[in-house]
Amino acid sequence: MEPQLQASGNNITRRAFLGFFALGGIISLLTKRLRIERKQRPAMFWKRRDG
Amino acid sequence: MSKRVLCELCPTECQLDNYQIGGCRTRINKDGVLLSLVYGKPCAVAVDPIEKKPFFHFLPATTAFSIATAGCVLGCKFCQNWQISQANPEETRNQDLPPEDVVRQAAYYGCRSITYTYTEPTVFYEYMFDTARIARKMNIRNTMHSCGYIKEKPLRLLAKYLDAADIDLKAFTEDFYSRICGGRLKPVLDSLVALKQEGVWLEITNLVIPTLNDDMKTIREMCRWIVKNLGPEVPIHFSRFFPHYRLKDLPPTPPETVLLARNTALEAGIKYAYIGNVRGEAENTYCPQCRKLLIERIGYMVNQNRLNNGRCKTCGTTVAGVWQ
Repeated sequence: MEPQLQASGNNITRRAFLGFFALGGIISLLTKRLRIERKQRPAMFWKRRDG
Repeated sequence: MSKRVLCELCPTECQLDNYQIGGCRTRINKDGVLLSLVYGKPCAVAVDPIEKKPFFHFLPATTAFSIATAGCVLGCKFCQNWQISQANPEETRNQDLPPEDVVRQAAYYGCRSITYTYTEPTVFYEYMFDTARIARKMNIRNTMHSCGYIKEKPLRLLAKYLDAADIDLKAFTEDFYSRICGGRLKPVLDSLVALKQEGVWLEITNLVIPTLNDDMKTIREMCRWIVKNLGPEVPIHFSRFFPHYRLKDLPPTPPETVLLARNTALEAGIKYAYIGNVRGEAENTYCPQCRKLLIERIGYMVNQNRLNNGRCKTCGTTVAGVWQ
């Protein structure tokens, strides 16, 4: 019997692949946004100059 | 409504229009809110001997977890770290290291203290402040090496979490601060007094630069001011200058000059005066009473420490400092 390189049960459909790809992109964008927000912490000593 | 803001952190007091960045390169006015661009983004992280800061009377022979971000409130022409201090945050290679991770790493490496150093810690004030608060809870000391160019209110707030400060007193003339550093002397002197009043352990570093601030008369005047306003027990380090950044046309300071500066300080009444960037006996700590050797150093290495609970073993004189 020929050895199987990949179990047939693990095959992924194109639809599922695209779904995972999109999910990864969304999570990456969200964490990047979080990182940027954390980087730009409001300063402690300043005031508005009106006028 | 105007979106202009006034930064009240350092005496420069930058007034920033929308999307304008401050002179320190680390603060931006974004839609009327001043934001730090370097929070949790150190460009230098290292474990150093505390003697490198230099602190000679603060937990000798221990290590300090040292961090810095890009930027500086001054623009000294002789800066030894100009590659990061005179750079924008996006020009340096930064790590992602939030305050809790700084403290965690300091504990992991067995550091007794965290030092905010290399560039000017005032520019990453919020990062330093949050880290210092967590470190205090974890029984890790906080120290900084600063130029002292910071306004009184933020300094006094920070001092509540600060155990020691090494302040660069770069010279004792307004002219030097104005021409060479782009700042003023008076706010630095005010910071020294404020730190002393807040009970922060204080050491002073003076980089002696040939022709610019090596006049012994001015050094004597500076030391007398220190004795009068801060007390004779504040250690002072006279460091040897090497040509850097925009002062490459000057020669290195002759070792004799820093030794002369040290002797001038001792004559003016300072009890503990040291030399930096020069090897020699003037790196050691001697008892101010019996003159016996107490701490022997070679560079950043402590060879022997003969202090007994902060006292001279021979005559019992108390030596000022934080020893444990």
